[in-house]
Amino acid sequence: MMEFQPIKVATGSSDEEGRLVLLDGRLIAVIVRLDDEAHGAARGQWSLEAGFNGVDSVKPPLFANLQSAERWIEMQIV
Amino acid sequence: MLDAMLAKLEALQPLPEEDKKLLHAIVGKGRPIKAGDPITLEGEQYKLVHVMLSGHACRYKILADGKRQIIGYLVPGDFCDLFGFLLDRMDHSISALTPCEIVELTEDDVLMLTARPMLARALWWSNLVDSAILREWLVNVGRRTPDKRIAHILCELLVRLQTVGVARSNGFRLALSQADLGDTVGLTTVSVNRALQRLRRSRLIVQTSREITIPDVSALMAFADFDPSYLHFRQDRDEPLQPRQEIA
Repeated sequence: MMEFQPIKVATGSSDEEGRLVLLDGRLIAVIVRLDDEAHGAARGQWSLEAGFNGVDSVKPPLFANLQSAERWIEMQIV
Repeated sequence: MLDAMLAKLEALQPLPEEDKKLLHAIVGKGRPIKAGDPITLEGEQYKLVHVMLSGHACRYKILADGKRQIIGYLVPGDFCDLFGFLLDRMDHSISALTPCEIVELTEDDVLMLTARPMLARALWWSNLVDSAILREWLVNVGRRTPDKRIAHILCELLVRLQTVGVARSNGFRLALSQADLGDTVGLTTVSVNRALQRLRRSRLIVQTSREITIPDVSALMAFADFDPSYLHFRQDRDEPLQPRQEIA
């Protein structure tokens, strides 16, 4: 089961609103919402900040919402 | 338009007047390339050597999944592929980042240039520097933090663009998007964005759109561990600046 726990992330920017993504109680990813105005059109989307155990990409996509983040993370761990 | 090429070559090796005249006679006028258009494509064969007279371009490879790694920047005065006519097929692509003017030299043209000892030295130097830049980029991508990677690239661009007279003493116009920078140093656009923000916040750079100003060049260089000696421009070498005796 995948859970999203709210967490503040120190990114050195206005992008603070984050989620710890847990799979069966284990941390599998950290995602952050892009709130800083410097992100322009990408504002409001979620960005992968860290991933574990294969949840990784040199160029991860941005996620419109937590559901699409969940779908993408699931694909990485299969 | 030959000015950049002469400035680049002479920054590496002083050239006698006859060599400059020969270069003028051989290089001639360039042809325009639109921003985004390819100059050479991986897998194709080219019998011509491309030289940048103006504008910016990049070398890159596209991976099977469509991701791009930029493996070099080409600025005015740079040779895209000095001995590329030897290759059966290009092992990477080159595309224009801005409108460019390029000139195409034949193998015979290159042989005529390399028959002149000082010109040959200048061209060898230019090839050595291309490899040195690649080594530095490898270190940059593999061993520096995101902020320093970006800072290092900005320092390199400043010095290279200044050498060919298209940068100010403390800044230049960045021809690269954040996506281009990310594909150069192996970062996501989000990470590039944050790195640039941190550089701005610490006043190491001032940025308005694509215009980069570096208030204290030595501070940015120190931050990035940037030592210009890998570019081998004569101003950073130990040897005297006066022209060498031409070999009889």
